[in-house]
Amino acid sequence: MSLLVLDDVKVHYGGVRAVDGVSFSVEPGQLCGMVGPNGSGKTTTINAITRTAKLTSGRITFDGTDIANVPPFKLRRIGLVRTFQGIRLIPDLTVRDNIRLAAEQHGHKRRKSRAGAVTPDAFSEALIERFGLSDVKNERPGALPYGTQRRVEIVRALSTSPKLLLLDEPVAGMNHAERADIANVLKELHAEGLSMLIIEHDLRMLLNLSDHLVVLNFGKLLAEGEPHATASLPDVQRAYLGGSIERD
Amino acid sequence: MIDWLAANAPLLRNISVLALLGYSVQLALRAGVFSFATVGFYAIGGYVTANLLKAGWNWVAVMALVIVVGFVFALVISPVLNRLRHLFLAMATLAFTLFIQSLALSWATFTGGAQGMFGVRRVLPQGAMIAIVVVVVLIVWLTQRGVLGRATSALRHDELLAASLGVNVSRQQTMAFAASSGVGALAGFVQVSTTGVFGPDDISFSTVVTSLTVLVVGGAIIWAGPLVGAILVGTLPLYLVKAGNLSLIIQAVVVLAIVVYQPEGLVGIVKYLFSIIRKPFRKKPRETTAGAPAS
Ligand SMILES: Nc1ncnc2c1ncn2[C@@H]1O[C@H](COP(=O)(O)OP(=O)(O)OP(=O)(O)O)[C@@H](O)[C@H]1O
Ligand SMILES: [Mg+2]
Repeated sequence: MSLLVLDDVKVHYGGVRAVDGVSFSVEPGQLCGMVGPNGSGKTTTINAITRTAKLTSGRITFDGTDIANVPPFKLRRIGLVRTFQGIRLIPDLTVRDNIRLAAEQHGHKRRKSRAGAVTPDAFSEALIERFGLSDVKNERPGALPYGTQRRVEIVRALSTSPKLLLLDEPVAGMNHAERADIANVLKELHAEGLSMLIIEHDLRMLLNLSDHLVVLNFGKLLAEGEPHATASLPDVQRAYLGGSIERD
Repeated sequence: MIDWLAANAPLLRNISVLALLGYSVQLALRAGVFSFATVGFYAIGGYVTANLLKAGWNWVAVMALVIVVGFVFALVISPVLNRLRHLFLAMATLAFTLFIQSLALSWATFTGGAQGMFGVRRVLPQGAMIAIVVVVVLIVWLTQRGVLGRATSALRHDELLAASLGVNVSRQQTMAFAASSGVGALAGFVQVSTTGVFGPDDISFSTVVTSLTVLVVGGAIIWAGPLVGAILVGTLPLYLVKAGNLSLIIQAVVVLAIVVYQPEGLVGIVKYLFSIIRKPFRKKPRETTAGAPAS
């Protein structure tokens, strides 16, 4: 059974058809890349999945549950978590507390009571260590380099133990070294079996990482399938030339 | 010490009530709810206390009831508030306070109308009053830390993000609003049970302004803020008496200066001074991108 299924999803804002009848699915363990020119509806698609944008019509099921029946704050409980296109760290909490905040929101009582199980604090601490944030964990995020801030956001999302991680342009604005760094993190997570849906303008990176590629254009699904084959379709190539998918 | 406390009873009473009003606003504000309802609940607390004490109730029972009334009343109106955001929410809470103010004038059998309530037994011992303030400060301090404190910070800065991480935004804001209202009502209880009088003047718009001033001067988010603000707002007029009519202007200038130059209030200024003193001894934070060498 597919982990995430979008069935003819439409999100219209007045006359703007931000997402206009998109259907695709993400399989368990899959790393699904999503590309498309600016304004093609990528972020709105993730907003629809996380109930930040209201569906005009269509249906989204996650892990067999229609997400229309799940209040937005409970999505994380069923294993759905996202990052945002812009950085959204809480400025007056340290890096560690930003991560703890997410880890402890759900299930910390349950986790504590189970003998031998990991507490949210220990779990956050392990993630901080693993993703190389130990040096900065007591800093406030505002003063950190951009790439580090984005990394904190990914780690914070991971601290909720998601089944599906939705990333909205995780390497936007990063330099080459930072990009390579995040790409490695994503590769590792993928190898461990985490399912991901990643929006990214850096097509080369997505071609390296993903098992499946979804291409949006003007709110519609332009193509989907095996990444390399999909990226070389004439329609997709044309959308690029008109669009802004950078190929560096 | 005892002599000093006795001699300064009116000042301490004033500071206590101001501090409670400030904490009431802060409890809501730090969860992202900008509420003017504090004075409305202050009025409810005050009038309920006046009537019950006149009816011969024990003050401990009155206090408990007043807190519960504030809390429950807030829960009842919160579904309406939960539908509103930001400026609209602030307007709605202001409307609530205005409504309570006009009700206080018209419902004379309960409130004494324009004359207000007087001759109420002044039953609250000074020690108990100070204890009440200490307990409120402790609660505010404790809930600013730990799981609840982190969730509250997240709520205040970014509701959408907080929800995406699993914070039940509307429940937490409702609870914060209820706590704010309970403390507002408690301020009314303290006012009446220490002065014996309560009337429209106590709940006028200037009280709304004063409660916000306390918060702004002391520090809106920091737990010590309202206490520090109450001490300043409570004592400043005493020293400004000589200035006569100028005193209001001086107060306004002090408040404006703090708002403009130090949004974190006096507590923020003290923290800043401490950070300057400590700086030379602190290890410089390392500028690192977690292992990624710059290329
Ligand atoms: N809340 C909204 N109200 C009105 N229009 C919106 C709203 N959100 C998005 N849109 C419009 O919907 C379209 C799709 O926007 P979206 O942000 O999903 O694009 P995107 O593919 O993520 O673009 P980018 O690559 O620039 O991030 C755009 O035309 C945008 O202006
Ligand atoms: Mg976008």
